[in-house]
Amino acid sequence: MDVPRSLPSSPPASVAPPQPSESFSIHTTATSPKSSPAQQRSTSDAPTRGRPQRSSVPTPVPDPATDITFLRVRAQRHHCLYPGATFQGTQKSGRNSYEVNVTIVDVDFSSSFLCGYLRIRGLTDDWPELTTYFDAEIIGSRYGFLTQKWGANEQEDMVHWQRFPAFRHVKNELRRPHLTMPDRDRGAVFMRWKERFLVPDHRVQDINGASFAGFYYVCVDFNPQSPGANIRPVTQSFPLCAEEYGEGDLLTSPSPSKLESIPIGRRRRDSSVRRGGRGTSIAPRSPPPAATMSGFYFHQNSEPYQQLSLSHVPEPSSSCFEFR
Amino acid sequence: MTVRQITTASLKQLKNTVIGNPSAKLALARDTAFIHSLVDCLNHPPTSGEPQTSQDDIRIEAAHVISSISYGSEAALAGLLRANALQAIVRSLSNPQALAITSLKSALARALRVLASAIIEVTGPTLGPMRIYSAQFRSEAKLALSYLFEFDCLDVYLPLLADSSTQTSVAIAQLIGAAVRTEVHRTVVIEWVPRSDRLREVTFRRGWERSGAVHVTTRHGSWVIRTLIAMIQKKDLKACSFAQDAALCAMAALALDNPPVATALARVPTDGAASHLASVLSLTKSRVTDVQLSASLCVTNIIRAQANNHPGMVDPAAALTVIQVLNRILISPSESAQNQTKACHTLCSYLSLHRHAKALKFLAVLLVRDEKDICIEVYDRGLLANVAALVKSITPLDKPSDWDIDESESRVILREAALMAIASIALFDRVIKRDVADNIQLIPLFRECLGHKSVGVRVAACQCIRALSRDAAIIRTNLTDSGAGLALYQVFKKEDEDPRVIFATLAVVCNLVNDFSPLRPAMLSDGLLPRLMWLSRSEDQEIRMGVLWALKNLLCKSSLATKQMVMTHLGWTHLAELVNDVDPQIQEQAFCILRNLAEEEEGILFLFDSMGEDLVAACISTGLDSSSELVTRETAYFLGNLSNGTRAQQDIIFTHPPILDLVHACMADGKSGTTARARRGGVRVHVEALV
Repeated sequence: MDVPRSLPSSPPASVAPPQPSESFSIHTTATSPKSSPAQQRSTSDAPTRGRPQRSSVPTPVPDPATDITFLRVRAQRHHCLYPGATFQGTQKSGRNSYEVNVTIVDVDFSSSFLCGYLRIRGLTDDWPELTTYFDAEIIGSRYGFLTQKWGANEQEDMVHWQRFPAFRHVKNELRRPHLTMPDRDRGAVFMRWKERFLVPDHRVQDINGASFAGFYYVCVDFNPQSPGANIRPVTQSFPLCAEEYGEGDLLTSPSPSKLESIPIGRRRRDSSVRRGGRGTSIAPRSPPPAATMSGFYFHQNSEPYQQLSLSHVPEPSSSCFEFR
Repeated sequence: MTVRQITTASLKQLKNTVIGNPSAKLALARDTAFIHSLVDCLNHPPTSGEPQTSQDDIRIEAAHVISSISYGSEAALAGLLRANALQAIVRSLSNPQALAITSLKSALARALRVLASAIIEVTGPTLGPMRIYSAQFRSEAKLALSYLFEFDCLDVYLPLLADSSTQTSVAIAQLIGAAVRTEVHRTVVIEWVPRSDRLREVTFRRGWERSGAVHVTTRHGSWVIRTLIAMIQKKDLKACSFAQDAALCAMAALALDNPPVATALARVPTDGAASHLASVLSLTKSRVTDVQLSASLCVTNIIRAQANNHPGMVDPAAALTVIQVLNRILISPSESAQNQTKACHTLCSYLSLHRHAKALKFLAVLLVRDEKDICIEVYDRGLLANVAALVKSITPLDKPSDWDIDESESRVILREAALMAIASIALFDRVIKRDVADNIQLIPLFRECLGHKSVGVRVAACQCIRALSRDAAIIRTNLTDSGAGLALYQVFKKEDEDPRVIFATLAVVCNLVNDFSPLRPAMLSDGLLPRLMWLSRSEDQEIRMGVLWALKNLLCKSSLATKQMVMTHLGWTHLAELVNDVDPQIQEQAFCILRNLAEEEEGILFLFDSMGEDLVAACISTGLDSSSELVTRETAYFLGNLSNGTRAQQDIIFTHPPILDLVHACMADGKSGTTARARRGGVRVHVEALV
């Protein structure tokens, strides 16, 4: 197309446009205008390391009408909670003990969400192996310790959460009305698991002799102090009454007699604390104990305190997937 | 063929003929000679032989006809561009004689606005419905658009923003609102200073200072912005809403992704008067719906740009006001489809608050909140339900297969906008996704729209399914049971499908090939890999990256047989080339593929047997030496996986000295900060595994 380069002359000064009376200042020194999202996706994700830069690849400006997101949803990993992580152990119900495997499918801390599969062996004769898909609510700022559904009231919530030693370290931070707490690394993660359907056939609703109508209270401890110390024994019951915790933030600690099973001198946890210290000897450090996953199944009509006890199965290799 | 005579009467008749008549516009566009004559009239009108009409009347009618056919078919607009209509209008506007005639001036300004609006829809980024244009036409339109924002051109029409004729000033404001869509154009318009001011600056400058430079002043600010503010605050009731609507749209276009402008507009003056943002907010309560919508869009863009400057500092009161306006318009049965469409577009723009790519701090700072909070807020206030109800009301599910053939364009546009809004809202949060899938039950509607005649509706439906496919449970249940997953896959396989639809379907396929998806085997046995390989040859970088993304997910937790199948199609040589691609995004995906291939010992063996030790070592060296942290990270993971191989396989680390040097450099180099520590930590863990 022929585009004449010579443009018509500008209007003479005598017809200069009137000046708006109000002053309006724009300061451009504070921040530079945001670069296009495509450029941000490629450049902010790839900071240089002081090496000569490769020649930049021109990135087309994305059309907002064709793509609805410029953000990636990278798989998140927090200690042993990552997509593909597996945990192995047992679920005890009375005198019975069943072998259990849990596999994490997806983790999204920003949404306080996790999901996975729970496989239990030997639960019924008809189903020598049952696998369910579960959703998990990660307790924090979004989901509080109060369940307020699935038939669990506040007292039942507290009775179960108190069974996890790690709960003692967080109860002072809880905020009403839902007993939420700020999201940060505490060396332990609390969750509620709700099983949704059977795998592989999600259309199966009834299982003779088994049910997944309830839910689990779960605690993953990244720094278990000693085996068996991650759950208070079931025999030590302490029915927590409303007056033991009031409208304020604080939840009272159990009486000293109930602390016998808990290591003495335990302090507020930080996952960055490593036993043995660094540089204290030239000998190789012993690997930290595997993280533990503990839980209690709850349903109004089920036997109470069916206990889940699992340990993380460390993996020497890693793989990745990412939702697009 | 007839020779059309150009007179005032004939042009008026022609104008009435072509208005709203696409076939008449197309017929006119094919008369190339007439188009050139019509354009020529703007500056060299024939002598009028009609009594009581003048050459200026001919010019006015010629401008009207040009306006009318600008929104015709591709042929009509192309004809105008090839006749240099844009240049002719600008030339005409620069003539002082033309500026002295109000009716002529406003007709020319309107023609310029309409032509510019039509051009921008071709060049993009488009805000409206998606259409299909040829590459050549798009190239011509881009050339015309760049001319419109040249400095000398701005000197002709921008001063008319303050013209005494409301019709003229409104047309220029509308032009800004419609045509300014990129950062470059935004900047030139904001930084433009009237010629008289520039000359005054030159007079006062000392000799060695740069003259003629145009930049945003720090004292007196942007002339265009100030003029638009004056238009918004106009008290002349007769033309008030008309001018306000145009000025608000222009302001919105200039404030988009522009923190300095947003900050200036939100600043409270020292005299205690309301900020300009507050003034705009008050207009969201206007009795005129157009003004409400324009004000909402303006507020959205201002607070969005402010949030870019100060993450997490969205004005909650302003945000709530916008949501309420959009909600009311969407649920009102008396609102026009056009207003409801604008509401959906504003909603999409509103939801892209915070939607700027963030750095790798996501990986280093756990539990950080991001922009999904806005989606949740919008959802909590019922907007999603309202948009869903709206789209359900205009989308039949129990109709014959050709239900969309005679649909009005306004309905099609509204459906596209509503579906895009739903996709945007549902993209991040699982509660919202589950509601869309289980309770609102929109999946059948999405599936129905996959076969719509409109490209935009098909893309939007794909994006809705994409949003839902980011949930393993929904993939396993709703998307499988409804058949929507496989229906989308069939669209993905169409070789003649629009590239924009293919891009959207590819994003869904990336999610459907994961190991937890029941659709994975079905797709693998139905030509998935050949189709992916065909798309891998696309010139579009986004599609090529999407292919690799799909392969990465496919290989995660896959059997050796699947790995072998994938690599038979991809090829080891090609994979090695991708590792060395100039695009770090492509490189990153290539290393993810290597990582997933080596996730188990049998995969490591397969990899070494196929690539050979030297090529593996070369790939590792390339990755560790990359300037992209993401590439280096994935290479480190790949290296860590290789450490689980045999001793001989591990030994490549020690028998290829560059690798050791690069590993050392990775651990020692880099900036301070959490990101670097996380990267070094990741590399260190894998190196320790080797030892």
